Amino acid sequence: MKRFLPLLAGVVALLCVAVTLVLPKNRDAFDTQGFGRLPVLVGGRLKPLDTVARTSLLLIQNRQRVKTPDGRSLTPNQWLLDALFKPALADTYQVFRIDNNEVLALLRLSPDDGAGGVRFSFAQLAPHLDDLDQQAERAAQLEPPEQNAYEREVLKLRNRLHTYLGLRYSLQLPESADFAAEIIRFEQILPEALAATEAKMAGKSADEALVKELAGFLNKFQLLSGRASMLAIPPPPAITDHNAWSNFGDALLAAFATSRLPQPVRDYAALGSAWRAGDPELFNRAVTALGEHLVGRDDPRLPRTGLEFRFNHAEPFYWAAALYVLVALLGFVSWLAWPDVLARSALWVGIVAWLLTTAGIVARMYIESRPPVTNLYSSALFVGWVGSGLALLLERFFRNSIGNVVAGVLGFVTLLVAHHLQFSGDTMEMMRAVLDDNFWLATHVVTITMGYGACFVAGVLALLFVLRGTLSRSLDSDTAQALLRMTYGAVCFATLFSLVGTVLGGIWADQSWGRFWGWDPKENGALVIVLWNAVILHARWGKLVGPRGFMNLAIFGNCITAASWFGVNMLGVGLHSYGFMDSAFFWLCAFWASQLAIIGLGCLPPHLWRSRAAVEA
Amino acid sequence: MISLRAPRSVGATIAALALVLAGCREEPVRTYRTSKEKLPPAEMPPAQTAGGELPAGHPPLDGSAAPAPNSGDTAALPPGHPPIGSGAMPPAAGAPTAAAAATNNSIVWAAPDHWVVKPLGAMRRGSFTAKNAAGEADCSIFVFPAASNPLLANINRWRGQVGLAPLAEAHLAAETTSLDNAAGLKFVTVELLGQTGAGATRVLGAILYRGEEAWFFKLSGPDAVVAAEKPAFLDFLRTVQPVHS
Amino acid sequence: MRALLRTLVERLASLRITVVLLVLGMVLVVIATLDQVHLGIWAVQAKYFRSFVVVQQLPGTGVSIPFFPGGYLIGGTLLINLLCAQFLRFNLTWRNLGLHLTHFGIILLLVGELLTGLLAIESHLTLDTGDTKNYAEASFERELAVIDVTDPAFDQVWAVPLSRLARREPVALPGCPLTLLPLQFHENANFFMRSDAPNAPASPATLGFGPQIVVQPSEPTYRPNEENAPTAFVEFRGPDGPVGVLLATLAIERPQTFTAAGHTYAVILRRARIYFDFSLSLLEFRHDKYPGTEIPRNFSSRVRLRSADGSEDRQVRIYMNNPLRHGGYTFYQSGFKNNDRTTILQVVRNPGWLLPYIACVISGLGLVHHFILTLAGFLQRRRASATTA
Repeated sequence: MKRFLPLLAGVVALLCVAVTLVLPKNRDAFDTQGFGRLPVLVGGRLKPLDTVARTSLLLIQNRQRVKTPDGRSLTPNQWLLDALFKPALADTYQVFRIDNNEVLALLRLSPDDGAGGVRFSFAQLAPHLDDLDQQAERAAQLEPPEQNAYEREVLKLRNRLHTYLGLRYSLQLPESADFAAEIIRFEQILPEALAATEAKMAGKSADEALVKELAGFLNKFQLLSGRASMLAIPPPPAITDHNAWSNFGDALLAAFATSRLPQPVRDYAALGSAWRAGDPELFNRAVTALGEHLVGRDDPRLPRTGLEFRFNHAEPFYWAAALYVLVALLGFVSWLAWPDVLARSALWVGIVAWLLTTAGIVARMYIESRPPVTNLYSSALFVGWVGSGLALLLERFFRNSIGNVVAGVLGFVTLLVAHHLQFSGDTMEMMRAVLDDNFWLATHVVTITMGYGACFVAGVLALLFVLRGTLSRSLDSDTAQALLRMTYGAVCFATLFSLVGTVLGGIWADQSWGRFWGWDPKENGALVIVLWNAVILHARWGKLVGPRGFMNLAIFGNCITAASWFGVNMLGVGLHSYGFMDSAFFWLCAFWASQLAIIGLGCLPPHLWRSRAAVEA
Repeated sequence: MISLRAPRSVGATIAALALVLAGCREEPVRTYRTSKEKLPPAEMPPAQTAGGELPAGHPPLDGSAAPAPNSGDTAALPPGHPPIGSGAMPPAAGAPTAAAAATNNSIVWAAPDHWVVKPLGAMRRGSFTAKNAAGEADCSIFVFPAASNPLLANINRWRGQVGLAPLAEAHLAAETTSLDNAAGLKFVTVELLGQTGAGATRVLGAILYRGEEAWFFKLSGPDAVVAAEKPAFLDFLRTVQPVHS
Repeated sequence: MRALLRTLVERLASLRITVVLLVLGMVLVVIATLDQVHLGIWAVQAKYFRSFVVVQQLPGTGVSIPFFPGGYLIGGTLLINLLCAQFLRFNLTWRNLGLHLTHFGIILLLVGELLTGLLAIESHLTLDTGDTKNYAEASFERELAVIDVTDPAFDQVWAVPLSRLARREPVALPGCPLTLLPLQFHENANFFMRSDAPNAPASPATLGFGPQIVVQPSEPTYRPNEENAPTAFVEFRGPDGPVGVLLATLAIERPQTFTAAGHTYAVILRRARIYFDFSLSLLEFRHDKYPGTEIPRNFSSRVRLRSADGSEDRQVRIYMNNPLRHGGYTFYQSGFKNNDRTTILQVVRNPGWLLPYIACVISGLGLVHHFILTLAGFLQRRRASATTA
């Protein structure tokens, strides 16, 4: 029995994971899942509407769940449908997150007006949009490092509104009562009205009313074409340019030349009518028609949007985070009781969690056609993947459950960090020109991120050494020796990858802007990690530090790595910072403070350690 | 190519090291000969000498850090404080002196009765909504340092806002008109019609250079609205007058 | 004597010194990175890395105190430390080959960075579509160019570095009858038209546009998007006495001319020029964006490269991550302006550009060697302990 218990734990974890692959059913008769699967081109990338709904909500309100004023809860796709086709209703949903009281004052609102004190509806914001716009325009003229918290929040809110308005104008005019009927009318009068307009321009008599009506349509469609954020209408099957998607307004304007509407325009209009009228049969028929329109196209990105839809629903990183918590707990308890069974169980569950993150990262790579690390979000995923992988490997050799705990802690914390990094929008955004180079992304960025992961493994191992040694009697001499060897190995690994990664970065810099080394903050961050690892190694080789000193140096490595990873982005200067970060500064400081506190603990003289044997050996 | 570099780099290294070792020797004057460059006329065109202008086509003399245009507005506020925009204006801008007292401006104006006063924001010295049957247009008044705000650049800035191509200096006179009002102020006015995201947009602009200040009056909005408000806007410019202290 | 030398080398090779230097280097990099917010990337390099001692001016006073070793001092000492350690502990075995290689690579890297700091010249080439140029303009250095344009066949140029103007001592131009006497020099200045500032004191300038312009000296700026406008009033003296005083500033982008001693001179303060023996013409600039967005996907310039002697005439495409290397210069796609009509190429001449590459290969090989040996040793010991257990 004892033999199979760990294996059983792994199998149970695996089954939990398998359950996530089952696609959820629609909540009601409307095929909103089928709607969420439809691809659109947004932000330069073909993605399912499901992703648009989720990323828009994350950007606007930092979560995916929507509560309506009458207490219903909506899926992201239902919210998107309302925003697209029932704007008056969607405008009352409290989804706009505002954290800054000065911004609230600008909008004549108080926290009491919002859901949870931080979420407000478009209807609440609408009366004061002009003020916001003026403030945002002024703030936008400042360089990011010069903006204060208020100005950043103003810009953030404007961006959120921009996203929402872009959706509102994507598939119909929010002001129109029955857009489908208008489009049918437009198609009916188009040939005659065009003829009448030509006649009028030639100075002949013409049906003035018809000309005027056509001009009205032109105005409306121009408005749509200017404001829509989605390119929802696929190119006609005969067109080979896969990027020739157009937005709804442009597709309607094109009809002035071709005299006929593309079928998807009619289908989307019908879909909107059905959603407004509450007619599931018509709605589902429109969804099917829109899906069938893309069948048989040779655009390689289309199958990827199908996978992306599944990926969104499986939420592999969410489940992996939960499993990592379990791993850390099992590993921790194994130090107290049933060491063998629990340690092996933790290892098996850890392996499942790690394979799950692997699958998630591979799926992202396939969807994006990119190496694993392209932005700050994916770097957090990858740091966790490397770190917990390395820790599980150490566990495989040392079998003292330390690797389990490190894997669990690192895996969970990095996924938590990643969760908070996805609020800036699509995490699979397109790469700007300089960064758009798979070779360097695959070499420099990957190695440097592996270096981060290894640094954190060394740091967390050292944390365990100090905490167990000072706070408990559980750290015996053998375990202490094992921990020292593990940490040393991780530091060597970190040195290798940081140095190689930094050097590769230099070569990339030389290739793309002609300086091997430009003292750019991001480069400096990487250099500081290399220097610090060199300090740790040389201090040990020169016998300048004992076990305690060595471990404290490794813990300080956590501070340095975190600073290089996130702090550099906060400086807001530099040529290739991955992205400007906002409020994470508080958490970075808290992290530094916690590490320094533990270093302080580690500096206690040996006789004050509860596990004296560990440090005196 | 690589093999060519090596010996040269060694020589250059030695030369550079020698230079460094020699200490802070003064940098020499380099002398060389080049083929003729097509130099633009370098002398001042006589017609413009009198006006004190730089030669035609010369960019504005603002190569250095110009003071922020709105520094006067926010200077008294603590850092990080949001600009105080609203509440400073009386509900109707009927009385020119009231507007001047509230904003410390060197000029005053009286807006048409049917224009609605808006909060000023950080940079605006005057802000109105012009409403008529066709819709709403925005009227704004800004002031910037004259030295860094030449006429052409600003007219081209406005042209850019409505999607029109920039104008060459030579066409400036043809595209602008001047307006002298009873108070002796000289405006350069311009009327632009172009396309923006919101559809056909018309801009009526007027620029007034007064000493070190350049005042910008702009009415912009949907074509039909602005076209209908044109007489009101011109009348509005005629009410502008200096403050006599 | 030998013993003394040996002791000295032993002291210098100490690992303690290595660790102290590495920590100092790290602290230097950190404070320099933080200071970039105030000074910008270029001033930081000069202040912290390309200096022996970091000097800080105490706020509110004119007093400057050295407060930290600079990059040259730390790097140089580290180099000595490394060399001594290599010299002392150099016994080449298969086991420590990796470590030796790594350290040798790092020595090369340090030397390479020193060479780059001393020798590399960065400049920019701005080309409108259809334009041809045979020179680049330095990114940081400015010069006062005095050009004798009398001869219809060619221009004779004297390029005076600004450091000479800052000294305010007479500058002789070799082969030219004129002498310069810098009267005033400012790192940066603001300008007003005299008509807008009627009460300003009279200008020292007597030639060109100067008399109409009021100069107001200002603090140098370090912000990334701003440029200083170095400004000088320069008196020209001919064989028959003073010719006049001219206002030269980067803000006036055209040459001002005057006649003296029977020659016509054009004077301009401009970005220092670096002439090539070939020319580049911009045929086309492209700026691709992702569909439906403003996210740039690629920038590329199609240029025609012609050598002065006519031996070469070809088309080249320069785009992101794909520079053109020619004649010791490297041209990188750096920017664009003017509604995508004008391309900005960064031009770098760095004779030591290959060193980092060699250093990296050596270091990388060394690290991989060492890592594999260590790992193999570790696994062997595990296996041994597993069998004994």
